[in-house]
Amino acid sequence: MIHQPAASASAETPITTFQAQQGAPIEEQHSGVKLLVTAYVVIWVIAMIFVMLTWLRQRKLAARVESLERALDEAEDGRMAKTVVKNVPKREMD
Amino acid sequence: MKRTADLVFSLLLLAATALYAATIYVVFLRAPIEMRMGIVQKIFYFHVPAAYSMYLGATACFVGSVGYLVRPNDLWDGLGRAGAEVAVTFGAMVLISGPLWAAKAWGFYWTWDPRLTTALLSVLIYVAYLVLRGFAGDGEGERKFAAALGILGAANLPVIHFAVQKWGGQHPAVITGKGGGLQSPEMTLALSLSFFAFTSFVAALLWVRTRQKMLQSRLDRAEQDMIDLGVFDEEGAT
Repeated sequence: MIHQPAASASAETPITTFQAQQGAPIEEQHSGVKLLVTAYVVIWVIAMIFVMLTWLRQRKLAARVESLERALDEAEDGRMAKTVVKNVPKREMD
Repeated sequence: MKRTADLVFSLLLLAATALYAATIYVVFLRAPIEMRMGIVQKIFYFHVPAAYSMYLGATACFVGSVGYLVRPNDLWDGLGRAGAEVAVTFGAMVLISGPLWAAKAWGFYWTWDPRLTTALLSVLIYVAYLVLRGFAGDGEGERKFAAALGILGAANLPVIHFAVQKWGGQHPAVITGKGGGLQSPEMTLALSLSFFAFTSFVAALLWVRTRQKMLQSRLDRAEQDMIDLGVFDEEGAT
């Protein structure tokens, strides 16, 4: 027995119940399996894309923090150099 | 505090992983094949929880938006934005998995049924929210405008939910307030597990994205302060 699309029934009245099949397994059309696998794969791919984007954004944030820390270090070094130059006696500088 | 946050996040991820494994086992190996539609009905076990997850994301966006308008801060703004992202992500799952089921059950992929149309509209509202946040800058005005859009998006949620009851249409109405139309306990188990799995996953995603958005806002301000002090420019250190 091959499944027929439930289109004719559902076009008039919406489906309100899902029932388990009885007796011998129903022979399934290949397209049903294909559609199920496609839907399943698509759902996981979308979820993975979201997780990947989150991970990439995290990396970008980490890089920005690193760049900010580097800038702070450089500013700190520059300030210290200025302080050292200021503290050196004028004669030594000449 | 930070340790507790990390622990909660790890527990949510662990729970989601275990629940997804159990869901996959029950859906594919225990739940019976449906009598009229055959194996394609199993899409239902992921499609419905994905729709529910879209509602969760939209609700988070609504809460964040209202919170931001009442008390503007990074937490509410981050929650609103994370909620919109979750709503779009899970809305895309719904809008793709639904038509794949319909191809078999109805014989066509799409129809302008009230529930399908309102669900599409809702996803488009959250896409608009994200486009606005992505391209219109991150000023106070943009944040407030996006918050208003987040509230508008939530107004559509009850319309999606009650569309089938109010206007009919072809969309199945298996999940109802009267206990639902699942005729096998294993079908109910599969759906329940899937609901729990999606809930844990959505909670983990909302958690991590909200924290990331808060961190991003703090970083933006720190960079701006350093630019003002003249020790930093757009390229990095001066």
